[in-house]
Amino acid sequence: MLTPTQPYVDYDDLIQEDPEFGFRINHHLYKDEEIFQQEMERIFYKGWVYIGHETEIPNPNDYVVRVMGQRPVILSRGQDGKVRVLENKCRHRGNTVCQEQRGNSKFFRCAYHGWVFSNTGELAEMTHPSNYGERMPAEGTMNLLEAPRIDSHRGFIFASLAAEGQPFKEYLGRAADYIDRYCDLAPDGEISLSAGRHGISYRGNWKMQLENLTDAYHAEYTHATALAAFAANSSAGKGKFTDRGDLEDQLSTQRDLGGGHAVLDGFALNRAQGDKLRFTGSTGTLSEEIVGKIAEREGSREKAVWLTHGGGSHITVFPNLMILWDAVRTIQPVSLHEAVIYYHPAQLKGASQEINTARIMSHQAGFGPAGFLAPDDMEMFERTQAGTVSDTDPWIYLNRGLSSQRIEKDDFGVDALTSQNLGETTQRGIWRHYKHVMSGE
Amino acid sequence: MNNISNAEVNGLRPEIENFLYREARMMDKHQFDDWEAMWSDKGVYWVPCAHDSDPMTEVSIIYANRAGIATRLGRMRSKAMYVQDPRSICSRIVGNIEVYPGEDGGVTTYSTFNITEFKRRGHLTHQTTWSGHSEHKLSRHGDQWLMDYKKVTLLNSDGEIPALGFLV
Repeated sequence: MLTPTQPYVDYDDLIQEDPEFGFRINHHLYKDEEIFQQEMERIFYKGWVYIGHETEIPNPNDYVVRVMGQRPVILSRGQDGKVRVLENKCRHRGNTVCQEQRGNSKFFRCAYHGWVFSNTGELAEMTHPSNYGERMPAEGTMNLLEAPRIDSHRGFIFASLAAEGQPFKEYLGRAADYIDRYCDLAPDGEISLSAGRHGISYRGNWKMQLENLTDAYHAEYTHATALAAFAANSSAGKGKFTDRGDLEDQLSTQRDLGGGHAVLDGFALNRAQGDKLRFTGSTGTLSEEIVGKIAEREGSREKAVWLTHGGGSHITVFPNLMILWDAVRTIQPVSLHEAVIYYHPAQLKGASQEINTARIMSHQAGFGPAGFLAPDDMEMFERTQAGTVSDTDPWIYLNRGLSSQRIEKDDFGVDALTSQNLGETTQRGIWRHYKHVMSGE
Repeated sequence: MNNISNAEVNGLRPEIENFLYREARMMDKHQFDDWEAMWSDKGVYWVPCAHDSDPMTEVSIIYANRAGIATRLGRMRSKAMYVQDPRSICSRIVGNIEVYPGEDGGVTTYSTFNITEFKRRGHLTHQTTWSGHSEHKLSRHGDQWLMDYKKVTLLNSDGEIPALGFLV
């Protein structure tokens, strides 16, 4: 175990698999400062991290401020139209140069000594440069630092602060299929994060949300009141999932997609509902508009219905992106025991405003600081964190579905480690990948 | 119904202020039935995220019509709404009340609130402050006033806020 005299963290010791006890993790993973610092270095400063969506900065000079790990950055679309991730830090004394959450500006000016940086990162003006004399910094050496690697998939922008490492496509891996199907739900094939965002903070470790999204097991209990409320208001949308006691029979599955990515796959469940077209708006009538438009695009109604059947799946992209139902969600670690979750309603490009408004309403009924679902999750995370004080037995066993999981072809025809929805296959997948990254393998 | 005059508004001020103070007490004490009874059938309850936003095109913290308010209260009455188990202990001050003639014989009020929330979770306790501005549109129904519309703008509404499980 970790003691003050032990100078390093052994992730083999903290995340264990063994025929005798199955799979277990040590709760120090949620409460050890050194582990948190190593996560920042190894996951958030070295690996690929989701940073924002193209539609948040659609025009030249648009920007939003973000945090990578704990480092403040600016996601900027430069005057040249190119998207960059710039460190929000003046190269003179290190002040943050951008104070607004979002905006449109060609320049970022440090108020302290007047240095001005272009939104492409270049130092555009240094005040009183002659005073440096022979010590004048060489041209190009005092630009805002820029994430050396940036890439995107269907508008989702990812960046890495390491110049070299795993190629982006390889990192995204199988998550790409599920992101594609989500975006294909929009008549124009694109989603838009143009409808604002919620931010909710909780006093718990960031990984609790990472593990939670594909955990169907908690829904019936943590979300009992929300499910009851949705059932009472049930339209075509959220039928079966709201029937308490019914979860065991559900056709939805947990799939470990590898690379720390995971999905709670609702495809089979939705398909079993036949023509009840789901997750494209608040009612079947609205959904018909979407299906019609997609069918026109794809030249196939069958394909359109297939896409709507995938719409409810919960997709976790390691380490900080989650996509489900009407929204895109990101996790922002703040400290060892504090995190923020941002929720952006995902608008469907090419859909009517009526449908997109319905998506906003349906999203905010569940999520955000006063939604029916999210606050109870936050409460559970805070209670989990409170429990980590007791070290008598530090082990958390993640053995659900271990004996029944199997390799199964998913709806893209690709093999995936799969268990019934009340298992812990996806949690094991996330931790296996975490161990791989944190061990520096 | 005819709009009321400024002079009439001044005469109504004590009962309007009393309405807002009573509403504050109902929210502090989690008296959901009494609070619900302060709404008219037209009720729209809005807690925006961004300070100037359109609830139809931008996400809100809460946007509920009268039926939505009822659904929300139905959940809040349950002990299984875990974010409020145990319930927060709240004390709020409502002040800076301005009262103006509204539409159809009603009044519009602007006020400021400060809430201290005390929360207990097992052995842990936590005290938080919430603050913001409210806009009420009230209409007269016989001898009582009811809320047609309430907009609550939290100071940090577009920032990162903890789970909000009690009434604001």
